[in-house]
Amino acid sequence: MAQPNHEQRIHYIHGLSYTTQERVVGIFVLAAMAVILGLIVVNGRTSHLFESHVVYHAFLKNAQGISTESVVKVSGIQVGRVASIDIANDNRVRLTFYVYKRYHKLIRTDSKASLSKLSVLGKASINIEAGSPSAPVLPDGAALTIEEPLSLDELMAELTPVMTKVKQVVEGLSALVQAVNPNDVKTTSRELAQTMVNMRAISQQIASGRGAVGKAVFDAKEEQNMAQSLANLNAMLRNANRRLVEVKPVINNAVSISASGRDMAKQLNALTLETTQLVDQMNTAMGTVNVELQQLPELVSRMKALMDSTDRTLQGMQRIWPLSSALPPQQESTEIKARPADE
Amino acid sequence: MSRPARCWGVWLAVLSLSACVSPPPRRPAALVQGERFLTLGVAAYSADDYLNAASLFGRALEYYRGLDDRGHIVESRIDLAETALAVGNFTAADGQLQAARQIADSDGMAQAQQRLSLLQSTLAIRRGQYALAAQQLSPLLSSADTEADIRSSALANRTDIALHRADDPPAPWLERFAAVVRDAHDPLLEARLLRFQAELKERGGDDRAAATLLRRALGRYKSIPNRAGTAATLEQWGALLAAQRQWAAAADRLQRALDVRLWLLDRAATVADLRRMADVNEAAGHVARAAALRRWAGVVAGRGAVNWSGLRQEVLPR
Repeated sequence: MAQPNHEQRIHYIHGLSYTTQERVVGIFVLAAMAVILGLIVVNGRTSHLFESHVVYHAFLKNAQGISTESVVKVSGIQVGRVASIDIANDNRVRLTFYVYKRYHKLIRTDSKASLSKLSVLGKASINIEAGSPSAPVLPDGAALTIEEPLSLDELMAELTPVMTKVKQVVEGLSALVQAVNPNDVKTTSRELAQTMVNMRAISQQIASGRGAVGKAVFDAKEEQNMAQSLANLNAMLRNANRRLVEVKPVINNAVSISASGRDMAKQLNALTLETTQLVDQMNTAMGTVNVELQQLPELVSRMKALMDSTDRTLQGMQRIWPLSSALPPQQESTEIKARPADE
Repeated sequence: MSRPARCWGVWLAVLSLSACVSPPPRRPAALVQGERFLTLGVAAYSADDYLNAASLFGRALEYYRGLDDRGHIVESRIDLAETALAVGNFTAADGQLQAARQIADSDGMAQAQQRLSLLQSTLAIRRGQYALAAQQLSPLLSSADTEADIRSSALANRTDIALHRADDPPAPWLERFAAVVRDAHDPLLEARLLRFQAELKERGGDDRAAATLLRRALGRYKSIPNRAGTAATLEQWGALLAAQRQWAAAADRLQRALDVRLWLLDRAATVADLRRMADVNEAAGHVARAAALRRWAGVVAGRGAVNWSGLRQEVLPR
């Protein structure tokens, strides 16, 4: 029976000797790994990788525009990020987000949170108002109420009653205009004008001392002719009486017109008030929509820049072995290849 | 060094190599945007989507005019001329070529001048102006500086011209073209050579050999695939069959060619196909169908709008 070999076996690693090339390669690898680690630390997404944080919850009716990419801001500073989105038992959207520990003291029990208006366009962030220093700090795991902006549908729903009111006002105005007969107004104003001319002529006569009354007022010598004048006055009064009888329907008409005018003025006043409210509401609505629309060009530009960046990244990846051999860079021609006729 | 150590070494080498890769060069956005239009246009042209190709080349032209980039202006115009030729719009092609020629001549763009001469010869061939076409090709064929792909296309055009002129023997040109094709390894040029050879066989009275060559050419074009070449081969085959008074077979080939031409929206070639089909139907005794085909040929030849679906419904079987 052969004796077992008791010679001590040595691990291969102890037999290796470091050549200069191996050392150089090792330095390269270590440097590359250091760069990768550095990039991870510097990168915006991963810069807080090892930072401790506190978690909060929020419940929303509509999580449009919110994703795990959405950031949490306090006074415009990014203090955290949305961690997860799921559905609560009451079918509301349950949002879990975290805030870095160093910003924890900013979140107080009286802090108010809101979704940015851009949530309608799919780019939302959670903005939290820093609470008052006297209020206690909101504990880890607490729920925070988030004020949600109106969605486009809700905005449109808000506009609908306003439009109904406009319609009612326009209809009322139309009925009012139809109720006034233009011929009545024309006749009445002509008669009123004639009356005013007559009255002006009478008062001028008296003021200038002409006529019986005028002379009786301004000339004492004429006193003895009073009897005669009284007769003239009597005749004139009769004349005036006749004039007054003529004027009476005109005055009645004027009173009626005045009453209508008062009603119309009241209605116009109400109409003006409603129109002002309507314009205010529309201005508010348009202002909100305008803010959203103003972000569109920026979004498009950002998207384009992102696509360019992605394209460049992919090109860079294609240059790395072994992808470079498996996916040769596409030769993109800018000129159609020369071909014979009939091809 | 033991095996595991060697494996580690290779792995580390790969890592270090990948870490040393340089990023792709960053180019000015203004240049990239213009090139994007041209690249997309060439892609659309290659897919026989001439409508989009023309739109993209047009945008590239406007873009480069805004930069006063004369080299790219010429390039855009060449692409537009190619697209116009593909759809049989000779007037538009002529306009683009003349505008490009003016810039290329004044700025001494030798490469563009060669390409423009080739395109002008192609345009002259499509218009049936063979003497002018030969004149355009003359400097390309005599110069040693002509680029390889332009030379091979110029030789194909020159052979085509010789086949259409009684006083110009085609055999020497065909031999030169065949020599170029042997070195080029380009299936498109090989298919064109087969069609030329079929033409010569037909002239020699060997219709059977001609049909065999055309069948081979058709196979080549379909393997690429190349729609214009496919249609041209079917048309040539239809003409061969018509000469043999095989009316039904000739009508079948021409109808298939017409299908392709309609897909390509090539008006000039569509008119030619409709007229050929009318001749074949008339000879076969289908007078009413021949009259309908001639009427449609007149409509398509005019400058007005064409009811393409109506044409398809009436002319092509479902």
